[in-house]
Amino acid sequence: MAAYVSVGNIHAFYLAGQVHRGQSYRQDSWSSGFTFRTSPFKVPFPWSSGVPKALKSERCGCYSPGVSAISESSKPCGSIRAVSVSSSTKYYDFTVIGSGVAGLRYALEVAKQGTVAVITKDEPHESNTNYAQGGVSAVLCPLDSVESHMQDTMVAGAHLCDEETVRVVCTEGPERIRELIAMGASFDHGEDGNLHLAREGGHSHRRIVHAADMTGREIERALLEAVLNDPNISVFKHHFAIDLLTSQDGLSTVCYGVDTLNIKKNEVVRFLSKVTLLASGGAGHIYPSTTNPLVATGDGMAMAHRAQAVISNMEFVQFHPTALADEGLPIKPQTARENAFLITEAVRGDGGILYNLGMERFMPVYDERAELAPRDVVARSIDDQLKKRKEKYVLLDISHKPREKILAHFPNIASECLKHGLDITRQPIPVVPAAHYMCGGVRAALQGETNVLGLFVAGEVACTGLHGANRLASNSLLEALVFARRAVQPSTELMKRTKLDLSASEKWTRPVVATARSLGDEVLSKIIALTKEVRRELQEVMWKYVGIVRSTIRLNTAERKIAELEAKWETFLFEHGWEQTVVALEACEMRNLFCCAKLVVSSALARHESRGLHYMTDYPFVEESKRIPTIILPSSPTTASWSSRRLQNIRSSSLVDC
Amino acid sequence: MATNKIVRLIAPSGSVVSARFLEPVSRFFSSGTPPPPQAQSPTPNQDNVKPDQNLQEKEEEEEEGGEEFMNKDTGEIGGPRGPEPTRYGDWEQRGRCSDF
Repeated sequence: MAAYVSVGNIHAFYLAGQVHRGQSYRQDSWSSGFTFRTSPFKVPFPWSSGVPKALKSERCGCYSPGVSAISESSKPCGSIRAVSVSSSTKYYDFTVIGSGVAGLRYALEVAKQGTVAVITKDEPHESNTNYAQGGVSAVLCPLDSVESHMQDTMVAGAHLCDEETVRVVCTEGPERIRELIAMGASFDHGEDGNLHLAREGGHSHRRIVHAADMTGREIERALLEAVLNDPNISVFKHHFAIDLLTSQDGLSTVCYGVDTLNIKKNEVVRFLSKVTLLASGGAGHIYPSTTNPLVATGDGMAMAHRAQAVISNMEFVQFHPTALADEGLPIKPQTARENAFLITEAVRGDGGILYNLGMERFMPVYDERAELAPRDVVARSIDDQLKKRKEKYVLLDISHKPREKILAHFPNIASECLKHGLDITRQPIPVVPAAHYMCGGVRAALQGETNVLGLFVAGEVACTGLHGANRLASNSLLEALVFARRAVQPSTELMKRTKLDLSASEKWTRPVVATARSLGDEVLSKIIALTKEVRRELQEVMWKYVGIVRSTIRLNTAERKIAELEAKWETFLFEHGWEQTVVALEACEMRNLFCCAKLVVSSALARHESRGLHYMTDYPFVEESKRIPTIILPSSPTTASWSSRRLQNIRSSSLVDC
Repeated sequence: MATNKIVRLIAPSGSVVSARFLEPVSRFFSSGTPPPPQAQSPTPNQDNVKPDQNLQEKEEEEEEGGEEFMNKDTGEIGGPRGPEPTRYGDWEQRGRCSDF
């Protein structure tokens, strides 16, 4: 798992602004806590003033003769009409990976400038957005202010937020909401026609816009409808993104598109484009219990890391303390619950008591506020109990309250538990913390740019500097909307001055689909079975050693165990006929999960303080000198593991000097 | 944008948060977030939005939608029934938390 980061590379990445080594650089780790003289999120990128030669295809002219894809105006760098030379290679001006709010919002805007492909690994609505049911925060009340929203955000973020990012998001939020309404999203309002704004924890003002209890779903619905009606946008569902297509142009890494696996047809489809937006969401499934749907396997973060993009703040994983623990239900659900059922604070607020399985009330030991302590304190306390006692869940008991009140206030919990043989008016509810949101991700500048030319990011996959060490409630949909919109202008500018060399489609080796024919029936099923098991084991390691309460010893153990697990898995694959470029959905997700898990562990090891969501028993306090983001630079191409290397190689015969 | 020009009349009540955040830790765990607010009854008129013209027109158009639940305390139409979803800080409905 060791990665090689040379000082030479560092200076190459950050040409402007000075970089010096932070205090927590580790030789054998991917990450180093670099500090920057100026805000790290403002570091200009070396490519920002020009377009590398590779993208100016002087020799071949725009298009090969057999393909009539030149726009009517015959402008040399005009928009590509969507071209399919073969079903296995497609050309679009813009490729969007992910169909949540960030991806769709961006797609709708850039579709006014060129052709767009939206790639999504399941049904288009299957995204974290769709499960984001609270609301979107924005300053929409005259008595509210951008400064107040900013302040709330930065306090929640434990002051690790980038102030300029926070200002931009809080300022532009209201306009983004209005646009959504204009696009047909329907939010709750009052009799007088005003938007109904709620006030959520951490906000000092009413500012949450919402649609009953399904805000994310409503936004997703409105955007998807607009996308499906847009003739310039093609949606490719059940297309799993495998790896980005990149190459080096001098000091810059340039992105040319992405290889995907069409899951339904079991074939590889290559997308070449001038601009790529990564909006692939979160990575909840590196943990065993998560609110995220199954698609959230950290694909984007992993692909970006393999493509040499800088990753930031991965240690800040948001957990909810009390998700319904299926293991504690008398009748276990027949199929594993896809996303966790979170039990509201209100149960504790109304008098619910937490017990461990020894029926000891433990909260008073940790905090004098007991069950009414802040959520992060409760989460750490539960985590500590579970680790100390080596148990799988704790109990939340509300049964001492009047039956009618329980059923009136918490009918959803009551019915869900009753379905599984538990009566919450008589018995305690089994609960366990669940992973919910990744505050970190692919480092984005103020317009969603990354250090890879042609690659932009928005949404949960990005680390924009908004959330800092902890996300403020309802700020994630907002961040996605704002950054998706902000990425439009630089994307469009880049698209307009880019010529895509269509003959370069075979510059990279193609992934090959694993089939029963190529590997043998038995081998393929063994691999899939092992992969499922390895995924479970990885999740257990992450929960046990990289959970809510961390320590250097535990993190080192995690690093070692993950490396062993990865080696064991990869060895099995490669000993049974798997090769570098072979792909299958389960295996590709697994390599992404490994990659993300390692990013989280490395980042957690690099932060020698406790701040926000990251808590270390050996560094339990906040350290002002450590109030800087954690940065992970790309690893050397010679790194051994399959999860850390891009699948495709560049064919040596196509290294042409443009 | 209109909202940028609006003068802020009320200081944020979040000032208690910063003090708490910087408190020395006497217990095993430090706390970085404020305690959940007291159970509060909804205050319908306090922060009622006066949106700009476009928004209001749009809302008025949408109002004619069919039979929707109207919350008598807050005046909210189409919203959740029962107690205020954010009364304890997170966003809950009927016991299930969907945002925090």
